[in-house]
Amino acid sequence: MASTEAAAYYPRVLRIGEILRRSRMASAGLTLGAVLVALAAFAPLVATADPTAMDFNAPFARPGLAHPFGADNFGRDVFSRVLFGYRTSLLVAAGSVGLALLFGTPLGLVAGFVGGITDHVIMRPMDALMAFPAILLTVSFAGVVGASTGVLIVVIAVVYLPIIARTMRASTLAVRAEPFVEGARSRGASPLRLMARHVVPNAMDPVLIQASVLMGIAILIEAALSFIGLGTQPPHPSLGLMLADGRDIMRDAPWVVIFPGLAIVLAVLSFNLVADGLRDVLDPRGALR
Amino acid sequence: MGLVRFFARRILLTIPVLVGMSVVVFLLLRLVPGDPAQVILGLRATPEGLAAVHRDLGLDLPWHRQYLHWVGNFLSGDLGQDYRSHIPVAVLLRQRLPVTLELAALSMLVSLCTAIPLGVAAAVRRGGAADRAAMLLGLAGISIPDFWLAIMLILFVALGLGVLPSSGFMPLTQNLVGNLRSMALPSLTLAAGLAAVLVRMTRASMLDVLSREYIKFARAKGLRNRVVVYRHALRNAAIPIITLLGLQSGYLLGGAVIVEQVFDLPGLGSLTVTATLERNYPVVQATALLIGLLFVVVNIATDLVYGALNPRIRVG
Amino acid sequence: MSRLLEVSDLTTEFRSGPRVARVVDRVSFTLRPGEVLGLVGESGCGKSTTGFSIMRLLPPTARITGGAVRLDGDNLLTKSDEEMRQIRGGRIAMIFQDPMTSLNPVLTVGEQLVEVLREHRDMSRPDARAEAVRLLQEVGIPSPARRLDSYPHEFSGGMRQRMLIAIAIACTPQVLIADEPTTALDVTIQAQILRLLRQLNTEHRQTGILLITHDFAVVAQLCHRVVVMYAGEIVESGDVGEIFAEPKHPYTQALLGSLPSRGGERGALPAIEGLVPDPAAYPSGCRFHPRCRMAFEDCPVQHPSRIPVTPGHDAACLLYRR
Repeated sequence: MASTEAAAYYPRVLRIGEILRRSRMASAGLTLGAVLVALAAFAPLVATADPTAMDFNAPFARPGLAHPFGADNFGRDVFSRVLFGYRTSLLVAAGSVGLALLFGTPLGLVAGFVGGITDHVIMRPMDALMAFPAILLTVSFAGVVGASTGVLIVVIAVVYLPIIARTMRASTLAVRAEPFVEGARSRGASPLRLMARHVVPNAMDPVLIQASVLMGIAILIEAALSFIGLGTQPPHPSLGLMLADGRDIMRDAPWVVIFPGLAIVLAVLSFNLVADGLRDVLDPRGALR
Repeated sequence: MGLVRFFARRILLTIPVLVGMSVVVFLLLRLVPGDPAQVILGLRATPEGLAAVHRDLGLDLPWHRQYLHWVGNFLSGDLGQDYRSHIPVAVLLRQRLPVTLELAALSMLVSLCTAIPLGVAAAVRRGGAADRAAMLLGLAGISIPDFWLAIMLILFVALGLGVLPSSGFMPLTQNLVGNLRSMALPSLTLAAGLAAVLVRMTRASMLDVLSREYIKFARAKGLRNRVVVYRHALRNAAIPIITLLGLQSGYLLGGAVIVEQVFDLPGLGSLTVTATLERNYPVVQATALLIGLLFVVVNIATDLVYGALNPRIRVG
Repeated sequence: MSRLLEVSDLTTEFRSGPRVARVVDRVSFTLRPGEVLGLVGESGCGKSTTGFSIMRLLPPTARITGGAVRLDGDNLLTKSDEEMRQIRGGRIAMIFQDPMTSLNPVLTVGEQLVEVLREHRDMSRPDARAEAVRLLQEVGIPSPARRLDSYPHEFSGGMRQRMLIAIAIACTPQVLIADEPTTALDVTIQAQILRLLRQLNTEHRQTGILLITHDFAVVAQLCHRVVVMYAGEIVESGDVGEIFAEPKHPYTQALLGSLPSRGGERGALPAIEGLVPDPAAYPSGCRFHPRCRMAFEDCPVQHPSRIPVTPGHDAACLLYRR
């Protein structure tokens, strides 16, 4: 389907609408994600109680009207804590992926578009970065700088940066080889215009899919690291922390570990659904993986 | 002949990587705030006591001397001693390594045996029961945090049903059944995450291969379906799967850390965590190097299997 | 003369949502033992699909919706999947177009030959290997014994095509379907392969060959009879000599007129105007009428059936109406 016209550029907004229509998975994922984001954003309004408030009248309360998800040994409402925990999770996810996209996309674009020495100069450090196991980086950073949500965001962003850059570069290379780009170039388009108008809109697809997946993974990383104490520190809310705390009392109050975990699963699931749905529509043959 | 060259080249390439790793780990340990002497002496620490321990452990020497000292010892076979218990590190590693290896091996086995057949069945009959199951399990598996799965398994299977132990470890040499029972939930936990990724990849890879021209040609030859799927298709589809397994070995090692913690297994993972918290330098350095070595071995194995499957990329 | 393969009113449809494309539409022809029948047409006319329909190797979106395919009297369309599997490779064999992609890259050439022999001729492994060597020799591959354990990527395109042919004739099929056997090859190699096919045809007098191609030059070198296909239908059929000397259907005339070597005339090559029609939306009446230089007012209205112009020579054109 070779076309020398700039046939592939049309407004992103329209494409999103079409994608949603064509993939039930993506729609489901986006809906679920939107609900969760809304819950997190409006947590103070939706929460049934102050997440840090201890109520010694109701320790180990079973799930019910007063405490939809039950309460822990301090009488803290699990539902509210989950909602606020979501804030942290989504903040980490959006922050780390956002940072990685901000820096990784242009790097990959330039590396793929210009090629040659520039490509090498940009990508070698990326490859070196990718050689480091993420766990090692995270633990070391946390160890040196001190653990916190902010550190987590930066570290995950650093881990994700080369992944995004690589994906963008591969995608740029593929799009650049398309006939319509050559057609635009022969009509005298400047490199900047070529990049912005023709390459980026088409090369972004795999990057978006990747970003969705990475957001889910970021949530898992935040939970895992908080679980072992190297992530979000108390008293800041975190689903991982809740699970760590809950372990001791899970015999008596299993809901303290069940619900935070389910919350994590739902969030990650929504991102994976979106990614799978997008992949089905935009890249069914797996060509740009 | 080519095989020897392959190994030689790989080993030569590995040495700088390992050296680099050892330097990085060494530096990181010393950069991280926390003093092993403090940990050892605890509340009884006095400035003189701390200084004495520093001298004992050689921590008063400049860093580059400490490093060279360590490397020198390492090359002559002395891996140092645990700061607190004075147990030789080599002994600790020898005790702990089999546990982690068994955990990894069992997890790998379980996930391969479930994921590959399911993925193949899903691809062969699109839209069928296997396909839906594969997609569902695959999606769920990559969305569930492994430590939470561990907790859920403990909650429902160990505590709820009471069939399997929730923690602790029984050595293989002591009691085979007991060993398998204590490893069951931990390996199930790790296997779940791995199986999810595998089943998705297997399905995708098989779908891709089954659409190729040579599969159509194989059918044109009138070969049985089983032959076409397993002999012709799977051997080709396995190539990206092997690559994925190699990459996932990192996940296994990382997951082992958490799983060993949650299930209280005496493996390398839990050793690393405790030693890091205690600032037990020799232990952490040796473990890091061992893990690095394991990675290299896995990589080489992956390449070999790759070459066995794909004649175009033979190493020999 | 007995009829080895008799295709009658074969119809194959492709479905994608509401769109139905009748890619093969009531196609009929016969193939006799020892005969090479050419199935000619432009890309997209349905000739390859005809071949795959006979083999019943269609993708899930396609279905044979009518007609019969009789191999030695046996209607293949009524066979079960398992019966058909046994027939494929054994009684009917197919040579695919692209030797690069038709051979499995991770299996040796020997393995790919031996498995066919063991499946259909029930040979032991050593016997099958010996036979494989003999087959490779028959198709002209040097040092065949050594090459058995080589992989497809170690061979050139021409060699690979010879291997495909070896696999196809391994079980002495009654019908050999060759789908564009030379299209993916260099011109010099093409000649070699055609020579090989001619040689095989001479030696295996019981086998009939259905040669699917878009290239009339290939037809001229190899075929005894030819059927011309356009838009899913047979528009002309007859002996090669007659068709080349006196093509009756305007489409065939146009195709032959656009051959570079014809008559040595100087001047522009006459190309056929217009495009091959969309199989989901064929033109009304005669499907060729939008591109036909001799179309008249009945052509868009009445669909022509095959009319015998001379004995053994049919054309589906209203020009030859009685």
